[in-house]
Amino acid sequence: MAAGRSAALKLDWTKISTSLGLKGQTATALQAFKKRNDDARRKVNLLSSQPQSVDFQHYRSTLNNTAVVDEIQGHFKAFKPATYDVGRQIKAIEAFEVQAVKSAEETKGRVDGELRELEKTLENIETARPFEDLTVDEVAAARPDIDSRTEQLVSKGRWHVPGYKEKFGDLSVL
Amino acid sequence: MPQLVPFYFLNQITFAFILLIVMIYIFSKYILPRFVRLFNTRVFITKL
Amino acid sequence: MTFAPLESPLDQFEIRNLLSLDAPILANLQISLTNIGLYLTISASIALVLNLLATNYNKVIANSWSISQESIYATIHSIVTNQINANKGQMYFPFIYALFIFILINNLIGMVPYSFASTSHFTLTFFISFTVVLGATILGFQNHGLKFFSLFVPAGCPIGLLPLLVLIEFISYLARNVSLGLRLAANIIRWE
Repeated sequence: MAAGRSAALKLDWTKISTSLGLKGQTATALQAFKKRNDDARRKVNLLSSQPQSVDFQHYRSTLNNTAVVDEIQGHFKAFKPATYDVGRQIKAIEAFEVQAVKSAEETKGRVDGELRELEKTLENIETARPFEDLTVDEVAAARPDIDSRTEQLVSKGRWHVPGYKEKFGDLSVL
Repeated sequence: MPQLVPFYFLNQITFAFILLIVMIYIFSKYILPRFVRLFNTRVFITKL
Repeated sequence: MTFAPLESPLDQFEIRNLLSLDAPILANLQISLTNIGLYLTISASIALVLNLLATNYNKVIANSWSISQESIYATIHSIVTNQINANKGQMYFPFIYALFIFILINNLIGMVPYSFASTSHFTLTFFISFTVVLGATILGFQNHGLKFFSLFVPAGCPIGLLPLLVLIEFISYLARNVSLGLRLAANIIRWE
């Protein structure tokens, strides 16, 4: 877990929250996680800065009742830090990590796809000719359903496009 | 009045008939569908 | 270059052979291009060529040439939808369109001096009007069966007057054939 801790120390939290531009649930989850991390680190720092050994010699010389000191020393020696089984938690964390990595990869794939689409659109915009020069053939080549719709209307004996007059006005001179 | 001569009468009618048929065919097959296509394109473009 | 003086004002309506093929060997086949045939062909070509050229290179945005075509389209379309039927009547739109353009251009050509006014010929106008009315009658019987005769009964007429009114309506229906053709040709003749 040493590597994990050093990684956690190296993490630049402000950079994460500003540069990635995270929003919504992810951002709040990240905030909560950061808070937990900060709290835990502060607690560890506080605890480790406190003295861990007791000068029993000093107590023995100042106190008359050395038996009490001996008893306390015995207790102190007998004290062992309670081992806490974190295996299950680590397992849960690992499972969560797998899940997170998977969803992150999914997000990455989606973002990449979006990026590619956007690049294509950008290229389209850059190479597009002015709207005045756009021909019906070009639009119909991009959207074949225009031709199929035309064919359908004409074969049914309909010679007007629904919604056209409402949008472009009626040129009828009568 | 030569148009009263049956030959010219028939000639005139035949010409008019053939031309009308040809015009109706070309209009309905090639020219008018292009208007519908143009209108379709315009409607589609404004929907983008 | 001199123009031959017209011997009579009606000379300009004379039909002449411009080009003819007589083939007695093929069952007396006679094919000839007369001046009216030539002018009808010219007007049909003008209608088609105008529609092929005035498209603003197939662009989505119209220029003034293609806007004129669209305007004709919209006008005839509104005539068809108003006079025939808003939905089913559109089926006859290409026919009405071709007829309209054909007659219009023939009339316009007739206005050009020293040209030939083909619509001033009763043969042509009667041919068109009789054909269209006959076709409309056949279509009426085909679509409506015997209910087609309700055309001759004016709405809300008293039963006593019915025979008389039906007779009048019938005559007016027949007269429409003649009057439609006559009116066009007479107008064009008067123009000349």
